Amino acid sequence: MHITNDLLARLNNNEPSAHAELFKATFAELTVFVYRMIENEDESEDIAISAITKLLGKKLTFNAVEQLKAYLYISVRNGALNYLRAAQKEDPFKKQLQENMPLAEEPVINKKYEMDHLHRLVKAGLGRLEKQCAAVIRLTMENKQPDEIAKALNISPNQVYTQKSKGIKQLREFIEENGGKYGIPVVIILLALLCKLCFG
Amino acid sequence: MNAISGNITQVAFGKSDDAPLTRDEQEICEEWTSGKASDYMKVDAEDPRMLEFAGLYDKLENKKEEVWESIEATHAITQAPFREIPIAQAPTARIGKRNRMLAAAIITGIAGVFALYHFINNDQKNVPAPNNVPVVNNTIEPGRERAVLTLADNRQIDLDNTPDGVIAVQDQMQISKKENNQIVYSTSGNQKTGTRALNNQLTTPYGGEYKVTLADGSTVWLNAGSSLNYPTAFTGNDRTVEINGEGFFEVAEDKTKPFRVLANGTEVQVTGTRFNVKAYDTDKLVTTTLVNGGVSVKRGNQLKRIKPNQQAITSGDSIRIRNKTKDEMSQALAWKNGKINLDGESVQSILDQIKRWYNVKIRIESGTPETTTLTGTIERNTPLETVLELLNTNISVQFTLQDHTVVAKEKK
Repeated sequence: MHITNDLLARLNNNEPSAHAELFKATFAELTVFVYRMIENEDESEDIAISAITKLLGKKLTFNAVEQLKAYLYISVRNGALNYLRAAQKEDPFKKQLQENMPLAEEPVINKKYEMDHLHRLVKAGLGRLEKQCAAVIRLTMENKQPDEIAKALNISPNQVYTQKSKGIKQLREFIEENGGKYGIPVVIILLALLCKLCFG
Repeated sequence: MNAISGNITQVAFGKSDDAPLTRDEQEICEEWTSGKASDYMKVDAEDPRMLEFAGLYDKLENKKEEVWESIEATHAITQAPFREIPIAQAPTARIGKRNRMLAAAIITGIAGVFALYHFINNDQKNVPAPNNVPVVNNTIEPGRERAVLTLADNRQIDLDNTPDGVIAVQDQMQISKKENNQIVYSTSGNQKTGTRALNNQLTTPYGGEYKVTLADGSTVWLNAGSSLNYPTAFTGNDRTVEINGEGFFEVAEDKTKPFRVLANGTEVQVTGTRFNVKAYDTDKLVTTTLVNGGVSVKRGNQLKRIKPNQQAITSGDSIRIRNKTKDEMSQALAWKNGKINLDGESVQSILDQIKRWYNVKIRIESGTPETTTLTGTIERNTPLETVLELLNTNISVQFTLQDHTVVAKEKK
């Protein structure tokens, strides 16, 4: 999620063009975040939209980009938890965290990415794959079932499976090698943090 | 990162400034300040569902412009910039989207349309890819209760222009028009048994609907663009009627005389029950939806029995039976309750409903998505322009009125 200080300033001034910009900068990321918790695409969109429009409607002012992000994530996480409670389901993140506990001491820094970053990495990695392999991965990303993919590309279901696992493996390698690129350079993040500490 | 001003967290949870946080809410705040949140925020490249998430992200990135436009449009209609949209609490209820639709449906009056019209017009200056605004030339009114009755001697009576009261007497049967726009068949004298009953036909045009009570007391609601053939009296061993189009039947119970509905080669047999038959020629299917009682559906030499809340769909020589949820049942019967259904309908079937009820032509341009994100229903007494405005709150298909044709095309 990339929100510039300039955008934040214009939001604080309540400029209409900033509304659209904020929405477009955050909508996909927040929706995927909620989707990972509740597994319902439509609801996820609604929860994300609601968090963003509520913010725009309240005309809040934020001191720093991090605060704005905190607001958005707190808001959608709350929405997702409410949904899960109503559906009498568990919070998957809580479970995930428990499972990861013993491993938490190992440095796993380079494997986790914010969604927009990961998305860019996948897109770039796709370009490196063989044609058929890339096609299988693209269709998988469009949520197509293996038999549909086999039909669409005129290959056997077995080939779909092998191409898919080959593609995923190569993509992961690519992401591991290039994880540092395609993202917002760490320097900028550090600078932003520094600025915040000094001026925020 | 640690300092989140109290006010912001209160707003994030939708609370007033001084309301205390619940334990869960405190925990969420704690997640953000302790760094757990940044862990949740990120996705592991090794996550087995990584591709699924990346795919969804891709899709969302591609449609975010349209989603934003529909949000802006809704807020323009309600004339309250960025009112909160309540989040669905129940997993099955799609309240979020529905509320956007509902808000639009309730508040769109002349002012709403006017505001939307202006809003989009003004906005065209800033938006690089403007949408076509439906051009409103003259008002197209929704359908109403009207039908033509054809008697056995081919005499036609336009029920719209006929005063209430007895309109014809045929073979001892009296046909009268009642004030609530229906016709009723009743015996006027001693019925001669054994005489062959005469055939009548009730036809509704596009933009019309009507209700008829048959000689045995059964009632049929006839949807627009439909016709029903029936005898003035049921003198034989059964009660047979024939329908083309769509009708809702409330069959009076008579175990000795089964009631049969013939529809495009499909036969529905009942004794006493309530059900809907949809058999428009354009559909090439006959759909029977049972509300209560029990019916058998016959096609060729196949015969299947359905229970309440089930639907039988016959096409070709096959009969498929599906269970229907309460929501799906009310969708199937929406027309009878004065509504246009959008839930789960394809663009084609939404347009078909509009064609029949507003008596307009329809066209779907190539490349139009087959389905929309629209949910809910629209009241059938809504003027067509308003219906189109409501339909255009969806993000993928643009509905416009050109002369007397409603055109659907892909939103760019």
